Amino acid sequence: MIVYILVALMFFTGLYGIIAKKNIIKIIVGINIVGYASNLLFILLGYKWEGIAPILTEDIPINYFVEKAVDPLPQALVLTSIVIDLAFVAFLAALAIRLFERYGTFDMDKIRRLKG
Amino acid sequence: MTLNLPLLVVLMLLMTGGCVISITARSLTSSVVSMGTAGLILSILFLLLGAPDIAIVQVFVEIVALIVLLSTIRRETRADMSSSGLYGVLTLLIFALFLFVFMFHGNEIVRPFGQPVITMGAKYLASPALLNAPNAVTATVLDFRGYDTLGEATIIFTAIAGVIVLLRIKGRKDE
Repeated sequence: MIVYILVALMFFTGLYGIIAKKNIIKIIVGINIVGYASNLLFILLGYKWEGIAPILTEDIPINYFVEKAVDPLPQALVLTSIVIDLAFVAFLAALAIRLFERYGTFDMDKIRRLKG
Repeated sequence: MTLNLPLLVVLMLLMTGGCVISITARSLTSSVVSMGTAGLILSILFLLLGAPDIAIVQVFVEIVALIVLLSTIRRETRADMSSSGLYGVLTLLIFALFLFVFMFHGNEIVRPFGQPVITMGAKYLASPALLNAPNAVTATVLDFRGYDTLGEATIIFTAIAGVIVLLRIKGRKDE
């Protein structure tokens, strides 16, 4: 159970970064950390003790493999989610670059002024 | 290398420390670099938890994200002191509420760590014999969950199109 509490601690650290920080880079880092925590939660939910990776080599009998391998379904979902996180972070970084070119700062309070 | 609970907890504590430092650090550079540290520890965790494919993808993605963020903040590395105290207290309250609920009802919410009930995954695990694909994760991504992968490709295409539109150098020609 302690692993789930640690994952929750990580998640709420990222959430704090998203809602309390005023710097755009800190917000992007917070979004990334929330993504880490949720990915790790999925993998932890699929793990079984003494589990082996879900890759069948020739010297493993199929019945032993089905009994011992960890759940491949969360792994497939996380594989998708990680790549989407990267695309999302790249998009947010592009937005931050454009905001910096216009306002000269990453601070949300100074960006709030309307300009142009 | 087999996994045991103390090793897992120590690695996760290190990763949580990296996350806390990256949120609270004053310099933006150290913030981004500690986020990268947390991501690399996460890839070690994936490797130990029986997910080598995801570990490889995580290392790759982490390095690319680090390069993207570092090239973003090269324009300004000024210290960041600003934060709003009210929201910090609010987050702490939500976390305390979560801990309170989890302490009493955790056994009903999740199974104990390391003892999952694999229902759908058991069918996917039998796939190497079915599809002649040695890697069950690949079989899941590309065959059983092929529509999800199509959606993922759509999202990535949209995000990259957005990045290109935002970062193009030339504007419209007819001005």
